[in-house]
Amino acid sequence: MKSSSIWPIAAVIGLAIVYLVGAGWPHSEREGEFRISEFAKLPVQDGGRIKPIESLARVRLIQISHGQRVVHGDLVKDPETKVETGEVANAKRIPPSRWLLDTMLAGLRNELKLKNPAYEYRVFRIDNDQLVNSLGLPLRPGSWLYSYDEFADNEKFLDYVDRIKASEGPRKDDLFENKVAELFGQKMAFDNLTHMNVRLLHPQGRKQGDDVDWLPLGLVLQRDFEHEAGEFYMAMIGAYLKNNPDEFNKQLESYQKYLARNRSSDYHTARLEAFFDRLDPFTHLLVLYGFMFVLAAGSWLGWSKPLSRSAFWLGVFLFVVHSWAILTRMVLMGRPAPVTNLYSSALYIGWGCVALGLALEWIFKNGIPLVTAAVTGFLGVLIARNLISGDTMEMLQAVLDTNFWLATHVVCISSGYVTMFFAGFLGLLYLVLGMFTPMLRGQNGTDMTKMIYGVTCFSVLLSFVGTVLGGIWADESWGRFWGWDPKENGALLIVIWSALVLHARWGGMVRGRGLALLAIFGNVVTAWSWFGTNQLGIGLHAYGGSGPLSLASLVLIGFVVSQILIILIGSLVPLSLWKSFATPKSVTLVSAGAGT
Amino acid sequence: MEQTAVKPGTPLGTAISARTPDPSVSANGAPHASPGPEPRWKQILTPIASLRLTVWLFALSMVIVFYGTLAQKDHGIWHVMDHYFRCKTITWIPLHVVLFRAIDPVGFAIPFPGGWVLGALLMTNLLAAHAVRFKLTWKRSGIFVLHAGVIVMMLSEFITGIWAVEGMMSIIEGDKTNYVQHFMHPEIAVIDNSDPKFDDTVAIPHAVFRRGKIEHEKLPFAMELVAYYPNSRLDKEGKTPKLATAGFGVEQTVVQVAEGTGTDTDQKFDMPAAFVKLTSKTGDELGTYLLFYEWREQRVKVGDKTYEVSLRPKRSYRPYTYQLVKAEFKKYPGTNIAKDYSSYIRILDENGKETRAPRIWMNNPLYFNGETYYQSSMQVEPGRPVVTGLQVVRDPGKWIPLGLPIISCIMVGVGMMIHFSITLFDFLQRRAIL
Repeated sequence: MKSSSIWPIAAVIGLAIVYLVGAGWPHSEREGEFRISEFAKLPVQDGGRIKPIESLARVRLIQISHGQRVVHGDLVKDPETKVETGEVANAKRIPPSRWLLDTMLAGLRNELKLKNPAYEYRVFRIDNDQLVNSLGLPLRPGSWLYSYDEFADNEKFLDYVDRIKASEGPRKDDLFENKVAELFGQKMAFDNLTHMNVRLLHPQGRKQGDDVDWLPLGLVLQRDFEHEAGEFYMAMIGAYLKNNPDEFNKQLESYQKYLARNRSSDYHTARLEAFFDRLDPFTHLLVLYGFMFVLAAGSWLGWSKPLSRSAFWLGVFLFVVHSWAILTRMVLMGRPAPVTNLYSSALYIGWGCVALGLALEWIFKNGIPLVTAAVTGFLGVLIARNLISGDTMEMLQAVLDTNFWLATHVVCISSGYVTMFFAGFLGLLYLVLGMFTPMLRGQNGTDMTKMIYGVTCFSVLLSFVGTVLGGIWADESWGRFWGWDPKENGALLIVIWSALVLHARWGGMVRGRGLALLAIFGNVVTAWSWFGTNQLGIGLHAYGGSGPLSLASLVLIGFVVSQILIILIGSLVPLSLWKSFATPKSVTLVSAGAGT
Repeated sequence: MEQTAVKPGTPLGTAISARTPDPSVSANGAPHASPGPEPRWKQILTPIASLRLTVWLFALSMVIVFYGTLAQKDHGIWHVMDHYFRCKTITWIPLHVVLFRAIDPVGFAIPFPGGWVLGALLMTNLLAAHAVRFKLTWKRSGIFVLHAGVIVMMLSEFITGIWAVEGMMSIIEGDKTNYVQHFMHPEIAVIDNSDPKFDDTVAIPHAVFRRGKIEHEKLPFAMELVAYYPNSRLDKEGKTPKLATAGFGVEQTVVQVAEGTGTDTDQKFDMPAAFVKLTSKTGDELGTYLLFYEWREQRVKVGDKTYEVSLRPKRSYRPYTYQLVKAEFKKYPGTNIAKDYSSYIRILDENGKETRAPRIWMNNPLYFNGETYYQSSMQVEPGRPVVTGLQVVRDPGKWIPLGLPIISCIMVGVGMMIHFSITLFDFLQRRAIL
């Protein structure tokens, strides 16, 4: 590489590093303030694992408000109509851990007749306008957030809850009742916190790493028994209630020292996770994959070599960051498997697509795999973010709790999804580039066909091996190698579909365009296997005509419909109208890959 | 032959294939030219061996797998298996399932070739292709291994479908049992336990008691089926009129509920219930009894003799006795999420001598007596003894070591790896990367 060609690469990667460092730079409180950012890193046991208070606070917030932000301030009302304008005066961001601390102290403050901000934070999301109206609440489009004080003692709400309880739960197809039940669940989660029902205290006298229950702080306070960690918390709470930051910080520091001495592994695990939470690498990867896309696609417009090289090396850098983030999650969960739930599968698929794209770019060097990698990497992370509905590192049900199978079967299946989606997106790109640009003339066209073909070969292999490993697992767990259940069938569909694509290719039934269209339908098959089968299981008529449709199934249906429309367009528009294939006769012979 | 890269008669295509012979196309072994006239059998087999047919059969298989999945919203997995995947004739797919439930059920269905029909056609297509087209060369060795694996895999699904038997063994902690229950097959049992040494049991299978009226020399009474619910639950509200005039059913009755489906989140067995009217051989009415799956035996007095009657899963007895010594149930700390279940079992032979004392737990089944025992469920309720549920499977496909499914899958996987490695290696060499 010439030295002159290194500079653009260095500049791009430097920019990415500066961005990441800037975003992750620790912000600490000023002298004389409560050091909530340190409090946030203390370990707590929740959902069967040790995590920092910050994670617990975020998980509870997601549960209660479907978001992770708490904004405190006065709602501005129109002076004449007395209707809320949607603006907030003196708005102040409350860090999640601070919100948690205030909420945990709500019960105590009530008893002591102190001002109680926990009941005023608008964190309850009530997004059903029927319910909002029935409770006589003002409409707050955009946020739909309400405070505890606004609804908790509402008699109508209590009535609805009683009625649902009497009929043993909400009716499946009644959206209103489901929303009431959901709000009641959120209130329960909140009430639990106000009773300090949070397992903050490690069992005394036990070695760390024991699989034992930690003690809820509330229990220790109530029963008033001696507990070393409990003493620290009592002191911190006392200082916090008296609004004495110096004392709070002093007690916090001594508790940290105590933990580092006595429970160092729990202490450090929690700190690592808190760091990871705050760095929030996946959000920044989203931005940076966008950047990579701009560079890679830009390279087709001009200044092509420096741009595509920069895009490639930025891709390598992002791949490293993405890998680090996934590995850290594995370390925190103590599992040798990157995929344990739907959320992590989306992260993994994004990661795999980037890896595959970089490898193909290395072989073909035409920018096409780079663009595909940037788009799929971006989408993977985006989908993951939208799948967050609680703790993303939740514990697994007993039957899934086998590291060997998680590390083999699940990884193989997910890698199969990676290749299917990658081939599918190459297919989409084939259509776009072929129809609207002359780029697929000559070598690019044949290369793209080869890429789709090669990636599909991998997908039949990976999906097949993954499915078989799943079968062996099922055989060992419940004695049935193959049970025809929805998820298994989804995997089988992928295997048959990729086999179909390959046989159609071998039989000469499809060539360039046909292969691209088949690959696009692969997106539909894979999306069904990945998401659709899960939608079936929740029993909300997710794919039916009546009853509430979840957002996830709407997105899925939208995606499937869009892919089918694209396939129709791609197959109906004659090749003579495609910019890449519509030119003089001499070119037709060269564009060997095109034509069905 | 149509397996060549381009159909003859398209001049553009010929030009292309002449210029850039496509490497992937010749990979399946399609000969580019066949010298001399073909023998008669080849002429017949050629259309059957077509790759076009393979692709269409694949597409049809996907349709049946897909709708078989959707159908699990309405029916249990066993029903769907019989009517879709393992269907030997025509599958009737209800119109509302075809239309993704955009409409309500209308009682109209669309005929479609059943799963096993498609399987048989695929198998024929594959065998014909090998007879007509494939020549064994190193380059194609992968495909041979792969296709042989596919054949074994189809055979193993066939064997499992025909001969595999599944059942459940539930044992209370500290207690013993010697039979396996088949929940999918209810039977009515009439037990005469007047002899202290053994029970004299008459079991009436589902297919027989569903006929309505039963009289038999071994039965102490005539039995008439008044009503039968394939799935039911206890009537807690007490609003349903009680049909029973004797036995437990006088106090409490059941309501009929929909049969469980394959997509239910809680995969439970259906709990059937039967109302039977009993009449003694002398013509005295003994009353209408409600027999419910969850209930124990009920006493029926005929003359001076007492019998026990119950509706229960079909039982198959084993020559061994299984004792649950200890059941273990672990949770994640601070939660109710199950982490692990284990059952410590003692197996006693007919003389009461211990032959084995295994521990069965998640993902670690016991292989014994030609059967496999899996830890399947565990009922833990406060104040009650723990009940373990073991799934018992007898599958002749597993008589050989590893089992047919696994062997076939290894063949397919290895075959693919060989084939794709050869292709990839060729490709990389041509691009001068290797």
